[in-house]
Amino acid sequence: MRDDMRPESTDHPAAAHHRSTPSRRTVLATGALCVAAAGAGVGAGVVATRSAPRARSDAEATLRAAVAAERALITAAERAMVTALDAAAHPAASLRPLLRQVRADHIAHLAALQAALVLAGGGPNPAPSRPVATNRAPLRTLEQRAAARAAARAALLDGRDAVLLASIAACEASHAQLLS
Amino acid sequence: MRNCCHECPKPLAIRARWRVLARSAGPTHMNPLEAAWQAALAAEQQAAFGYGLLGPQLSGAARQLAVACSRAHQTLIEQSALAQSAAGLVPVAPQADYPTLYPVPGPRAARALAVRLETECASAWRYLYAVAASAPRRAEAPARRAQAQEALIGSAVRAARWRDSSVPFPGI
Repeated sequence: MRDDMRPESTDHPAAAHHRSTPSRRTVLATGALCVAAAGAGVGAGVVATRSAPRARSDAEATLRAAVAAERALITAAERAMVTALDAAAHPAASLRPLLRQVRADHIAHLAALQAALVLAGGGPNPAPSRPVATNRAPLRTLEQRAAARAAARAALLDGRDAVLLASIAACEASHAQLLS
Repeated sequence: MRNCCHECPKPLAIRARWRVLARSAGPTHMNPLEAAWQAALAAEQQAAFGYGLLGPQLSGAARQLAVACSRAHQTLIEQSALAQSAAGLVPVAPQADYPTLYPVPGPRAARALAVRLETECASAWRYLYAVAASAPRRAEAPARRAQAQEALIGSAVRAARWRDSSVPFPGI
């Protein structure tokens, strides 16, 4: 058999071992590098997993505070609307059925919003607003503003609470239309 | 673009526009947000068709209201179709007929149909709002929510005008 046709395995075992096996120094250096790299990776992972929840919880706390504040304002606004409707002194007879309807809608809104608050773990119930005497035109303005506020608040929320507020905004806009 | 006749130049123009919109966007797989958007557009198309049915049964102020409502729905259809096309969607085409809307025998039925059309539009837009509000991370969600809120308010207000009363939670 010619030399160039011989497979490598036919070399001397010691020589073959010497060629394929890295030196002790190389093994140690590679090992050290691996340990350092793994350590760095783990360290980076720990840093990442510690900072991400902190950032998430900060954002969540901020959102929760904003949602609670919004919900309190919404409930207060709804109560003010109901109070204003109650205080409407001797409205024209033709307006009474409409005011009764508007009032009933607001009471339904209030109940739904309070239920949403309870579902979310509860929040401080705002104090009832002071009664405001009103008639048709100011009430229309009040409804228009309430619709805009409800739509703006809906945009700050997600899920079913957002949908509830979006629908309430639509109802209040229809009140403004009926009062015009 | 040709007109079909002197009296009614618009239908042919609208149909041609639909064809252009349908051609300009390729077929896509719709996500729930896009499907809800298409459903809202379909509800608007039904409303526009329905006002064409009920309008002749009305007179005076009620007829004027029907015309105004019909225009509002047509505008919304055009806006939605263009926005969908711009978003790479194929806007759903209007049906040739809506048999469930018949018959409309008189003014009372016409008013009832108007309330029904607006109620169905409100439901469709409320659904789009709900889907968008459940997917706040989608880039297009805020725009869909804003559009759905505006359209929901529009339908609720029109329904209140026809009903002469309100409902506490339009679209729900």
